[in-house]
Amino acid sequence: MTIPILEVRDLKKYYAASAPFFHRGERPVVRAVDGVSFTIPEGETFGLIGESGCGKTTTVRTLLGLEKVTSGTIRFAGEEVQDADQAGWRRYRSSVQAVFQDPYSSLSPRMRVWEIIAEPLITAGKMSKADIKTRVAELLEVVGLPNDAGERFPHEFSGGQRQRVAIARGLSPQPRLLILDEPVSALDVSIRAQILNLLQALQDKFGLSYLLISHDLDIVAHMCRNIAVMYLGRIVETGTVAQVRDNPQHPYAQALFSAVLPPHPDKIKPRIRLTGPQPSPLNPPSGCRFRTRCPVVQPICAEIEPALEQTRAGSRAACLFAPRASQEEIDR
Amino acid sequence: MTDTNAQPVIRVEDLYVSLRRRRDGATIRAVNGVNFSVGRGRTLGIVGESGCGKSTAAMALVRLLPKSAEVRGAIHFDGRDLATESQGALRRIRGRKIAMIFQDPMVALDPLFTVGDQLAEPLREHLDLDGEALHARQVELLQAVGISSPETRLKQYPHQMSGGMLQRIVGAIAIACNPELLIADEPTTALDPTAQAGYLELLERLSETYGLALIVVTHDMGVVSRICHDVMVMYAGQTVEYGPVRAIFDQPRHPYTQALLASIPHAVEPGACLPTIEGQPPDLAALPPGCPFAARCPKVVDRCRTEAPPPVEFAGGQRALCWRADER
Repeated sequence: MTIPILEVRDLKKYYAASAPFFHRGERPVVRAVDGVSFTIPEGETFGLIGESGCGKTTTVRTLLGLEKVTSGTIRFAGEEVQDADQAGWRRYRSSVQAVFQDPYSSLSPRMRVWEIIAEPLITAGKMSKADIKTRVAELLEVVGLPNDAGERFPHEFSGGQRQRVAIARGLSPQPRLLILDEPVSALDVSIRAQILNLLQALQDKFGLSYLLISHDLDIVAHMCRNIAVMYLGRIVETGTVAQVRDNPQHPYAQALFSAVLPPHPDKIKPRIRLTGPQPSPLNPPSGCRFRTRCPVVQPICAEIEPALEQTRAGSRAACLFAPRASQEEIDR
Repeated sequence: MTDTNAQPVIRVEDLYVSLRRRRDGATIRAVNGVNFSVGRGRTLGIVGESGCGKSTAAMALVRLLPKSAEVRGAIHFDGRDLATESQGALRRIRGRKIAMIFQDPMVALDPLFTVGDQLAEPLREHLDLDGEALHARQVELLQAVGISSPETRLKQYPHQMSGGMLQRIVGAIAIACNPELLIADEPTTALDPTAQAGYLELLERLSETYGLALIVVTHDMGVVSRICHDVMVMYAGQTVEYGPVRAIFDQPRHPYTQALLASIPHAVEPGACLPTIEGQPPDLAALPPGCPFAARCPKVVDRCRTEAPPPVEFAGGQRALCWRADER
């Protein structure tokens, strides 16, 4: 078996919450990410979805080293990186780059486009000035920007072009994994399609792997092979797009996909409504975390915390009542 | 007009809005001759990309526009022409007969005031309610949007409530003075799928229950297909296509509408190349002669670049602004 580009095992990120005044004992803990595992095979796109506050962004921040991991392992191309020394970490971080949502705020307004793209190369300090110049020109071409774009400032570009600059910058240290955090949600529909096509073309050309975070389930379904649905810091269901979108087994995944807007007015389907507020990660419910909003909750759900198990539909879901696959089905 | 309602709540004729661009003082022709109407209990979606004039057209109805804006045309509402009314008169209409909802409900409410205070403001301002009557109306409104234990909720602050509840509070404020028209500008843009679906359902229910005319400004065809009856597709300040939602989704006549519908990911095989619209919309300060979409249009012919296309009417009230609209 080939080594996956990214392997995350039992990742946890807890934050110490501010304690109430005169609080005794231990400070309360926010379990933003609480035991998340997923694998991204090289050259594939993996999607992470879930409502605001489910821990998607915290997961990304730990992968980028913007937050320290509380526990768990991050393996990149087979090598454990979460406790790597400085040199190892630097190697890892040049192989993993990110493109964020808003190209209006993620690019420095005072830097020329070529400086923005060249910055990671200059910081790495391994290339000569001439080589950097050639590389920037190459990158501009790869992302479909005109040659003279390098001399201009971000404000001279439209949103779609700025996102191309952000992608060029992401590509400049020749990463193997690109983390795309809502890469097109700030863009207009027609521009969106251009950027998604560009990302697909770049993946084919350079064999890149993507981790895609998005609210737009249509885009996720279009781009990804495998996806994971997060709820309150945990993955509740994971599998291929076809499995999870077309036949979700976890009640939360079912509710999430029933909320997708219809492609045609004749295709409006009844939505599974979730009642009650999202519980706080400060104090998640006992047993299954989804039980306080689950339409099919049973008393036992408060007792047992379900693990991800292979379902008959092919995905893996963390629900006591999702029909399990038999041993034969798993072996097959 | 071809609205199914005999007496629409609002009828807009030949609306033009021009604005002054601060950068160079140029005159921007943001809205160029737009016609539409919305009846009781009906929902119109105004759809298009950034800078197409959709928000400007909607905000022109209540004249929430920059000072430099010039509005021409007729806006028939409640027996008068809003285009000729003074700002003072419009102030009495805004929030009373015409309510507005803007983007994210999480930020629409003031964190320093209780829900009760914020709900009381339009009731005091427009309906002169006070004391018992005010309180009774507050409770009634919260119940109308499905909030349980309204007495407690009135005393709470926005941060004490969930996102879904805040949406409903914003809805309650919007319907507080029994408006006839509700304008929602990109109401669900910042929301995740479940929150978005919930908010759209709320708007739909309010429109149905109170016979509100609803205008939803959006860039998302999914929102249109979910709650709108009619849709107006705008490009470079013009209505390029208008008509019943079903007709337009079944058979879009304008190449721009066709391209918009085709560039949605579920319209193609997963992973396949998405159809795109190459190029940029024209500069609204220097609109080309002819059709504004000509430079990007896959079906362009010579005539499109020189002569402005006339509206072509189709059965069921659909119309498109294109020389080739009736070709199949």
